[in-house]
Amino acid sequence: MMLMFIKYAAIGFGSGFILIVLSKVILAAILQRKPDYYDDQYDQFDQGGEENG
Amino acid sequence: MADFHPGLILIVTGLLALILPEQIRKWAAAAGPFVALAVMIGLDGDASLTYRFTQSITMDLLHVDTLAWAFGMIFCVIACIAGIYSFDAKDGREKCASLIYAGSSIAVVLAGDWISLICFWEVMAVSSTYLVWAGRTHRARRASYRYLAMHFFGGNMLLGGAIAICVQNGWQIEMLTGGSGWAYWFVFIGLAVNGAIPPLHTWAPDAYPEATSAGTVYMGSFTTKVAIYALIRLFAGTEWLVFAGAVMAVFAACMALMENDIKRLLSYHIVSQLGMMVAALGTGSAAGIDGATLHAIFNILYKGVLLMGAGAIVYATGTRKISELGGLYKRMPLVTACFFIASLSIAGVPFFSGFASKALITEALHEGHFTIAYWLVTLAGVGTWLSITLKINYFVFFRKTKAEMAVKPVPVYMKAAMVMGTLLCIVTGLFPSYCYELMPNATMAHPFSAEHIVEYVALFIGATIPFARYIKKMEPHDVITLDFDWIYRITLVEFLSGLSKWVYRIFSRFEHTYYNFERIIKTILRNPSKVFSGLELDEANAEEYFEEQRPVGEFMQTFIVFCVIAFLVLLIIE
Repeated sequence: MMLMFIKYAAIGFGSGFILIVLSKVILAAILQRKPDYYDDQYDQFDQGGEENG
Repeated sequence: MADFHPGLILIVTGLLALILPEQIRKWAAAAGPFVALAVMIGLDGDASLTYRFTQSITMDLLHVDTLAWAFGMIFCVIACIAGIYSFDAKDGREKCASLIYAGSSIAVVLAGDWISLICFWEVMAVSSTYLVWAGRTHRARRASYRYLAMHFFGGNMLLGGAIAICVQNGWQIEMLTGGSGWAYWFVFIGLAVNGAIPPLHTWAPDAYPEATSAGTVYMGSFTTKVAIYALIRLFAGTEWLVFAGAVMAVFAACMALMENDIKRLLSYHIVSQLGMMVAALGTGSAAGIDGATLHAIFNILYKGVLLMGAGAIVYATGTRKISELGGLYKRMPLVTACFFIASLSIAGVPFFSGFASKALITEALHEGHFTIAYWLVTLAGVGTWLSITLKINYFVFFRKTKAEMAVKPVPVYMKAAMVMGTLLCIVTGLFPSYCYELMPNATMAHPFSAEHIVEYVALFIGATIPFARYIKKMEPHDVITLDFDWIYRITLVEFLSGLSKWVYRIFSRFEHTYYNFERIIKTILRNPSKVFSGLELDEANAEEYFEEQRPVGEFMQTFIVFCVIAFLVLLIIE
């Protein structure tokens, strides 16, 4: 049982590490942008649309 | 004798919500789902409700078997809980849309023929669009247009494929596994849109956060799970779905890890959980189908609690950004507790509901020797633990912040709804065998074996170490993450903008040419002798000419262009 615990703990550690590197390092560098990235794209079509809070 | 239809009861309640005075509407909208639930409990395989659509086609509105009953039941339960959560919502149209949305979802799963299914499928799309639009911000309005466009595309694909299938096989819904041809793929794409299968998933993280708090709870519970129901009905046993679902689960977990918006993070997790269901139903085994069904049912419960918690946080603090939140456990202890329990459920921690359904899924993958998919689903489970159980709980509720933020008290009906959902997560997690018996194949998993519990506890403890070690890296920042919707939000917009400018230049050239032609004719008619002595064109008022409104001319111009393009397309096809 102890061996099983260590085995799956190691799998959990490795999986967590891989996911953090993949998401927060590699994919974040490629895919992350400023929060208003899409907002400018519609200004040419949007003629004073109102904000209904 | 026709039986009562729980979906139609909700739809009628929704229509009544439009005309009732506010005080009566609140209670009617809260009570309607309980009536539907009572009717649903009483339904069995003998239930029948038909409608004569034409001389030769009869719509079978009530077709109840174990699968349909299981989905119908959980839809009624979450409609009851969400009805309490949104008790004090002032917008009658939002209440109407919510109830019609819930009712049409139930009607889809109880439909016995293609016509009923597609009719209510479209009603679902339209009513849920209002829930996005009801967010009433600039972004919500735009998100609702994209949502509607995506679902009209999916609905039409489904309709096109279904018509072709019905012409060959009749109106009864039959499994399509092993099929081929364009009709098969049209139906699959139609379901893939609603099922948020990448790359057709972007509408979920785009639209769900922009809806109202209650709207997000409704939306997270119905559309995607109806698609899972339809996939089980039509595509169970399609083996390539096993790998596709597993990849989908990991992809969405990675996207969730990067998110700063709490609702967007939870929306990506809906996609990740759907991936596990798709992988399970792809195996086609009894454990796979039961696993997908049970996971959908439990997902509605714990995801509902998570979305309700997120809605309560947004209500209390006014922000969705995790980077701006922290230390909320002191000010919102009940919300913290409910959210924490639901996050343990979604991760699959032993003795909570997700653990019981994941046991079936992993058993199905193991039995079918889908080793890669098994490990990918395990990886996705670790991703869920990292992004929801650890990331959200730590950064939103427990992290110390420099200054204490202003927090409004959360209304009692929101808390009551969260407590109801949380209790169900706990009870179903502690006594899963009652739920296993209600599944289509009544597959009995044995999740409480020592090995299984040790496996999951060890996984989560191991995964916590890199999170704690790299806590600074895990801290969210105020950024957005691009997804496949970049293709139509940027590239397609630029393409259409360029095409529009090009078309405008061509018409503008015609207009200038015609303007000069008109000047020449006017000059000749006024002074015919000028033709021989040299043409000096009369001064015409150019500004007046080009600013003149010519609605009839513009309509004719557009119509002629459309006819020319249609003619050319037909020529090419022929």
